[in-house]
Amino acid sequence: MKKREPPTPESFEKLLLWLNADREKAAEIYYRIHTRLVRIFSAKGCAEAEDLADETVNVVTSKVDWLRENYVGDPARYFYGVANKIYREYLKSRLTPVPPPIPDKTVLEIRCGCLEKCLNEKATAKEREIMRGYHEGEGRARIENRKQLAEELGITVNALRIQICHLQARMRPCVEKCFQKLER
Amino acid sequence: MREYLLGKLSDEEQQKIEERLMVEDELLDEFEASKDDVIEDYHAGELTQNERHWLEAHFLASPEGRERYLFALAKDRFYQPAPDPKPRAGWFERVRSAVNMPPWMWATAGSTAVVILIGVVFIPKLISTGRGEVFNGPALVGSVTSRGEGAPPVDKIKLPENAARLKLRLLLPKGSAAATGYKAELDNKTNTSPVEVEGFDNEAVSVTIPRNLLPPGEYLIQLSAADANGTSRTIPREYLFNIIE
Repeated sequence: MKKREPPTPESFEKLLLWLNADREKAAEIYYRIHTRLVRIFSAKGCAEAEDLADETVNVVTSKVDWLRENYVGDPARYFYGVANKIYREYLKSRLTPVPPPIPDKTVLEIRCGCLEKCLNEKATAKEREIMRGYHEGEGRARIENRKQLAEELGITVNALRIQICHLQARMRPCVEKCFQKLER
Repeated sequence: MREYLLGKLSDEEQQKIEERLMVEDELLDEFEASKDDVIEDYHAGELTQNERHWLEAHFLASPEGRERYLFALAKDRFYQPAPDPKPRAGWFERVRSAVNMPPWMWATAGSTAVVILIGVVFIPKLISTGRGEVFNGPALVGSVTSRGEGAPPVDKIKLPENAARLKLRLLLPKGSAAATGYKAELDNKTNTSPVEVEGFDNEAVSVTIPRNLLPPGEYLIQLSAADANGTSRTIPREYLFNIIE
């Protein structure tokens, strides 16, 4: 897939101005759009999600003069439209994905150790307890455990699910960093 | 969100979801939580085959998907540690203990064998369905060396979609000493995993390998034999095969 040149500083400033007259708000909007593009590309199985998001920005920036004069609507939707086209181009050259390999026991033990370390360092005792309760049991028993845990916490099962999601989102980069360090 | 991640939406519906993700903050939390849910279900084997394939071809193909998958594996290991397995009696030990059984136990074993025989003869389909379809692969000759001149061509195997396991017949070298049991290890170039030995005779050993150990790639099976005196020896053959898409 042929890549465009990254935007010049002047073009990028124009892009930010298009997003919002306030530069700080514009930067927040830009960051939010870029992050969501990366997540969508990831969900669609793109190995180079960041690159594709950058390419989307490059294309949109190249049209910013026209957009500032003519486009009406949420800029995020325009970015998405461009991203969609870039994704279809990407599909033409994508290698067939293979299932994720299962790491061997030693690697898994290292990751497990890192998880324990990160939970101790980055989670409160209460959060660790909730995590443990959330992952107790298997199958039907696990579902029942989660309902019970949510009741005890006085929240809905969905709220508990989101809470766990946020906690795991904090743990994952910590575990990766720890693993990369130990793997060397 | 779950349906989106598992490929159950039309193109148009997918695009609508994606457009909403770009502008609706509330949807993002649900999106992120759903990713964790589907990875958990994937790991627990609770997805249909189509759902598995879609996830493997999409979210799990991305670096983020793989990172979440590895995190899920570590989490599972951490919260559900597997008990230490009791050493399983080898074939020889089981036969030896059977020989030492009192007569009344022989009668019970005899009647059990009849029941099992009936089961094997009349209900093979039920067993197959319960464990998933078994795909009978080729008989592998194996070679002393798998590389360079004289190495035989490597068998390429395409697993049917409904196959849960691959069965291979590994031909033993001519004149191999009789063994009381065999062990097989599957090597995928990164790590090795033990695989089930289904049966053996003087000519070959049959193994079955679960599909989840066989993503497309190159594989080697190493056999070792257990002798009557309890010693173990490696069979000097490399059984190579490729799994292709």
